[in-house]
Amino acid sequence: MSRFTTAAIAWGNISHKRFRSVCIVLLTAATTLLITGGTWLGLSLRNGAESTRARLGADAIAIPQSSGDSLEGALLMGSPSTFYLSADTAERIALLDGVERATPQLFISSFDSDHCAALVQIIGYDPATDFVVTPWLVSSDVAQPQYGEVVIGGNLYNLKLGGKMPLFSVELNVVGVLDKTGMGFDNSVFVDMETARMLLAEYEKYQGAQPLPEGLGTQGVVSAVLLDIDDGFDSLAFQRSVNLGFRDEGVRLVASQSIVNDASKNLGLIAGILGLLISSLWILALFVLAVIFTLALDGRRREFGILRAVGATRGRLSAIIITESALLCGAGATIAIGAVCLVVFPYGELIERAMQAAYLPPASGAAAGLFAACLLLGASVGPLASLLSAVRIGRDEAFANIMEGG
Amino acid sequence: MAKNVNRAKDRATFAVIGALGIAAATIPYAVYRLIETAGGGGMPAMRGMTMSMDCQDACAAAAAVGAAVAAVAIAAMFFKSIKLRLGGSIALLAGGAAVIAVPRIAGFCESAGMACRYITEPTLAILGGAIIALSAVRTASAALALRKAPVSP
Repeated sequence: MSRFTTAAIAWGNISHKRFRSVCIVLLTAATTLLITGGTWLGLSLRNGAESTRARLGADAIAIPQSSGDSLEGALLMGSPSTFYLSADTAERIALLDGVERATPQLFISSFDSDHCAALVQIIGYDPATDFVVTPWLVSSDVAQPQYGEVVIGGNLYNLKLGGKMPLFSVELNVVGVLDKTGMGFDNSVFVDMETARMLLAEYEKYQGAQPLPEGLGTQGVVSAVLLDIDDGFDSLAFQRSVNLGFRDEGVRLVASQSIVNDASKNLGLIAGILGLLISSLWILALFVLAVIFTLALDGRRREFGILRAVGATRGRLSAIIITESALLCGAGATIAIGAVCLVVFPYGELIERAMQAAYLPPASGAAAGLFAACLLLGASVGPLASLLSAVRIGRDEAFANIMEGG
Repeated sequence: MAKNVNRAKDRATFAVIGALGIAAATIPYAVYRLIETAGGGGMPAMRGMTMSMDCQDACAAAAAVGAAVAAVAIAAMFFKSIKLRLGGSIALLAGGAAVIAVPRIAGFCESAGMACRYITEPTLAILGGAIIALSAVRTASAALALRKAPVSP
């Protein structure tokens, strides 16, 4: 008896028309793959831009002109670098009119070698004046690193809280692990300024190290000054005056907003194109499948006429058609979701690098919701496309179907 | 007839597993060119010392395990006895697990930002997973064929 259940008849039809079935599965899989992959990418870029906006925490950053794009590379893409600004110049910038608060930071790149646990950006900050790293540590419930201690970013997963992190010829105690941010901070470690200066002295002993500016020792340099500008000041005019006033000393002032803009560059455009692409694809798949099902079902009118003649109800015929399309499209959508998972989870870091932008994938709950929605969207395209044909076949009389089916 | 079909399926599967083994052996060196950055070529070194990347051992381990998997798979293609093919499938099942585990034990670089972490490690995991899945199917099929085979007096 089980041979005549709706599902069994639908499955029988699928197995007897293998080529058509494979084509429908592939079409649904391709559509669902693009919809899921596109949505995942769009959400990850949006999360990354929001994370960047939340973490920068200063209005502007003064850096040496010679550093080029190193700051953006370190902050957004986790490409470590070392660059220097005279500590004296940094102090003078901090005392300028319009500066509400200022704090120096020292950027040192480690090496990927036996001497360092990992290739990371070491960021030294001054806890006495800091207003950027400290609030983040406090909100993450992470301890402030003291001399000889380090707080590590979310990508350094071989290092554990309470463990040791070798950097150059010293070992630091890991006192905190930060959550992933999707930006360069994930490949960074945070130390206090004293520890950073000690590490800089060690770094300078290695070949390939960025040499200190002439006449300056490790105590005489920082890498950047992070500034909060008074609300009453025009930030653009302030930026211009610093760039002009400190031109001879090779200082460049970067507005944090421009870094955020880098992170979210063309994000609106990308999101718009993705949305358009996704809806067009879904409608196209719906249309193509509707044509396929109409042609396929027209060729099977005789079969449906006979089923009606032997007692199958109209509802039963419609159910067979809809079950058949649901099985095919469900299989296609499942294959597509599996393929997306096989790419986005193992190769997340690679995608992040290829995007060259802050990239933070959705959290597990949101990811599960996204995959479930895309699975539903992909699986529903078949039943929707076959609905009209199913109603029409069910409505026709058995005799007419047998005669028209030839 | 059914016996020949089974043997052809076994051969095809072993050939695919062999190709996956070759991929596991060559990818860390040939495709991602980790050898160019390994061994201290352009790496900064403390004066008077030589250095190598942490993942160098992992790459060598992947090459060795991948080559062993490929060798077993190619040899298994020519086994006539079902028992030998079953043995080959079980060995490849372990080989798939080794493709994932041995390079990890040998140790990749610590930072997720290194190419060995974001390309080689997940690729080896996918290749190892595929080898395990294919070997498992062949093991089950060979075990079933062995059970159905007539018992000799």
